[in-house]
Amino acid sequence: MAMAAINGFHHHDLHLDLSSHSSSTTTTDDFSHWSQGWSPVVDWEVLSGHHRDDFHDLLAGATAAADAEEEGFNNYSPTTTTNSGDTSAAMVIDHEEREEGEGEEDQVEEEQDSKGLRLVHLLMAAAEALTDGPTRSPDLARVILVRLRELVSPHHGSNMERLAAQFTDALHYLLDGGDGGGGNKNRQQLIPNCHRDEHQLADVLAAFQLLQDMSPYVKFGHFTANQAILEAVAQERRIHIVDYDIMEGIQWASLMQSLASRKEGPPSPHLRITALSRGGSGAHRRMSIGTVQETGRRLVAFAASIGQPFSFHQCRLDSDETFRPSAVKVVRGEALVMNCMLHLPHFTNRAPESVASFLNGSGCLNPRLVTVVEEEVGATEETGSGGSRGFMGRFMDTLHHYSALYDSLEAGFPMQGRARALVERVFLGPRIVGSVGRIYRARGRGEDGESGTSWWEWLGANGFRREGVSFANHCQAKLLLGLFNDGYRVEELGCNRLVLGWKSRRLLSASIWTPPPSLSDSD
Amino acid sequence: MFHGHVKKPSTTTTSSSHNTNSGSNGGMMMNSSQQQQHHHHHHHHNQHSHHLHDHRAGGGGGMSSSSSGGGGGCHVVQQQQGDSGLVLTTDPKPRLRWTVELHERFVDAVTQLGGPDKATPKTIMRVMGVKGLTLYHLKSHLQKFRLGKQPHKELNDHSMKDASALDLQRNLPSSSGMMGRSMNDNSNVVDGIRMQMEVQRRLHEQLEVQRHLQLRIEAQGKYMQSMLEKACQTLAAGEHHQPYSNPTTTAKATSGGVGPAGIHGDPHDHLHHQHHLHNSNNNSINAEMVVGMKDIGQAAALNFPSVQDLNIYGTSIDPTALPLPLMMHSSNVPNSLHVDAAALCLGSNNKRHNPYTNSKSGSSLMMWSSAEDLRLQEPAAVGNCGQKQKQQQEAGGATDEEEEEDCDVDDDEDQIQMHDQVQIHMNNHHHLQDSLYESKPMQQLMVGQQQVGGDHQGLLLMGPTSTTMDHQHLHHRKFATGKLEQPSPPARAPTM
Repeated sequence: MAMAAINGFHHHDLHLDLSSHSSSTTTTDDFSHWSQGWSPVVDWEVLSGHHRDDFHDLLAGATAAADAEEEGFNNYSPTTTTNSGDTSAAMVIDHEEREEGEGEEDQVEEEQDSKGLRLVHLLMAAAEALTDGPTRSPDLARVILVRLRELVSPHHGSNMERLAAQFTDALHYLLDGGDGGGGNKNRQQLIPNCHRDEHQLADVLAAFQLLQDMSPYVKFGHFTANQAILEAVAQERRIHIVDYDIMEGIQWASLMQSLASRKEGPPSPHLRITALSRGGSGAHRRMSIGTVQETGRRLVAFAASIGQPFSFHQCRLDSDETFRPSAVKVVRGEALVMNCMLHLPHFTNRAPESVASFLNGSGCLNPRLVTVVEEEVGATEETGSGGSRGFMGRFMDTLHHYSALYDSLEAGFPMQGRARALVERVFLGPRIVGSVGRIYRARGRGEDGESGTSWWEWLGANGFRREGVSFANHCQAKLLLGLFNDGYRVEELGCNRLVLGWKSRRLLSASIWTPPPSLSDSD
Repeated sequence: MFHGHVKKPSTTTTSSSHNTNSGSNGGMMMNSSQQQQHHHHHHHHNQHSHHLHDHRAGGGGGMSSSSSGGGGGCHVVQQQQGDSGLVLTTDPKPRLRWTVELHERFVDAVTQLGGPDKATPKTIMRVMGVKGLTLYHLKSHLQKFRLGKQPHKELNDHSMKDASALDLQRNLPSSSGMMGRSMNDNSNVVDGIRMQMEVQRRLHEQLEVQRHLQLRIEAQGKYMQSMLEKACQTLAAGEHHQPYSNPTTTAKATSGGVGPAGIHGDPHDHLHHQHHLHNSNNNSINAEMVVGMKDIGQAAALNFPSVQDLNIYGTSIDPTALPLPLMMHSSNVPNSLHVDAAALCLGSNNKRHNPYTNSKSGSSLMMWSSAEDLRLQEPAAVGNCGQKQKQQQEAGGATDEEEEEDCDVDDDEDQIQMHDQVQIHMNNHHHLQDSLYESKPMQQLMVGQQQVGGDHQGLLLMGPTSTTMDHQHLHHRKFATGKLEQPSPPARAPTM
């Protein structure tokens, strides 16, 4: 019902996918479908001259009746004749899939779809206007964004409308100051001095709980990493986990439970967790330290409650968020594990340099295992992630990524609009702003390996060895997804990576590694 | 070798004629029977695990007929019962060896009775009239016979189903390769057995994984709860600083709200309804939080504070704090989950929504469903353990010649335990649900809804406006522990 036009796109993708790739193990390249049906980046650039007119058309047409919409759409993608054909075919299917009972509801839906389509066009136009090159025009972008804000609100409307509102915000941030410059500084700038009201606590906590209940994302990341860790340390008496971003610490509750009740291996192994607190400066840093301490207290209490021998340590990143391996106290005889949760929906964005320093540093510490959970945004096996596709391509990837996320939440909880809205606003909205900001700042520097490259690619390129995903781990992921609504799927890629997807879109991946042999030998 | 020596029993064989027959064969009985049995299997292409288990008996991988014969008989001294021609082992639990004649008679009896599906152990026993043959023996044999009658295709389908149910496609290449080979070459019994064992192993592993997953989810839930309790406490502590304490509603309101709002999927409808219902409706934490978060969501452009940040305000965990108040969020949001949950409890809703509301009359949890998978497989492919166990119970501990299948039975017991666990677990969830609905949501809907109204009309609210609004309404919203409970004013003026 509330499925908006982007779902029309999804249908488009989906139909293609289903026809050509029925097996989940095939590497489906959404983006290629997307680009075929839509506007490949190259074409974007080639055709950018036309776009201004189209933009104006669109702007004018934004208020026009829904009928005019398809025409506008066809005008907008004149790249190939098959494109419009494909898309209209998809639209036809879309129509057919709806109930035969036409009438007003259908009309409403149609309107919504076309509105969604219009929103996507506007977003693309705005993003294009922010992209470096002949089409760059911040003024135009501003006009479009103002128009978008008139059209949508993140608080109500269809999925696509709310999503568009978040992306409008994200683009607006770019316009207002997130332009160019180094990532870190900008991010700091963009951090609003949000009043850390205690009420926020309740909201964030509620949203977190909702997210946990509504979607498998958090559990998938945690459980997959934990299972790998448990397998790697099955025979150890002392286990030491260095956690890059411990957040609220919930990941370790289940690990402790498993350790406390494990039957194989030495009884009651001792668990030590070293949580990294953020560098930064001043209040930010103090706050991070405070939260990590609080997490530590909670973990200690939890461990005590289940009789798991446990100790908690804190380790600070340097002021530039760099990880120094020497700051971690390693005890002889303990099995070290480096855990790196990066992009779970409720996580905050971390600077790639910081993550890289952590992963690099992990090589020096000779850990038994390195676990990484990260988002998959438009990354494909063939092309790698879209560092070379430029801002527009990655912007569309991001749009796709989050629309899939929104859809997955909606499919599971169609009625719980408010619950979803909470999750969207607390977690996803800020993440969207962050993601768009990141890819925008990363434009033009694609190759430096920090942004745009998946960490699993980075790890592979840096000599880390793949550690296979066990049957039990794969099985667990499948069972976990079985607890949620249909549409989620898990696939195993490259033997050491489990990817959680929604429909044909990959969203989150967990990968398992061991450090490069050279580093661990020298250590 | 000895095939020819065996005299075909007639359909009307009596026990006396059988008697002479068995007597003449004497000591060769064992080998010939093994041969014949083996031959019989191939003849019927009984690829089923039961028969495979026979072959596997002592020799493990070696599947030549001689080793099969030796394997089956080498550990036990065989003894013929003179009058009935039955060959029983001298085990403490004598097992019956189905000699070829006996089997033929069995087949004849079954045919006479109208086929394996119509024949029952009792009727067969009557028709065969062999002394010493028990219902138990016949049950077991009839079962195998029925399964053995399945055509190849069906059998292969079963195997395939097993594979897909277990999701073996990603498993060890060896196992899948083996499977593929045995599909193509039905005579390759070894592979078949290995495949079955592999399937069995996987099943077992899957069960373990299920159990672990269950525990892990529970551990996470427990941890989450500790966070929630802490949050409540913190908020409750903050409450004291507020000019007035915040009222909470009673459980009644919750149930009263299960109304029209729940059946509308459209967000606009929700808003609309909530607007109209706000006086009588249950308030939901979320109704308000959602609104509150609007501001935060926009304000917190990047690096949104993480959950843990929230806990820096408190220092201790009070276990007596209102339990699980926040867990309600998912249920009380637009009232519709109440409907959902009700439907789920009635088992009428076949959609899975939420692990915590995932009841569907106890069968929708993963464990259950995959246990069902197991159920389906057992009689067909894995080894009939369900029935076998039943038989054993019925037969008072007597065993037949397939004791080596006891491992299957173990699995079955595991599985039964799993079922129990699932049941318990489901019950827990029901309790959880109950308690959720009975606990007291916040009476903040008024504020929340007013804001929703504002949202509804408004576009993006940015900057200072949102901040002040946030403060304004957030002052109203507190989680209350029991002691802070107060009746809520029926209506509060809009705060916007």
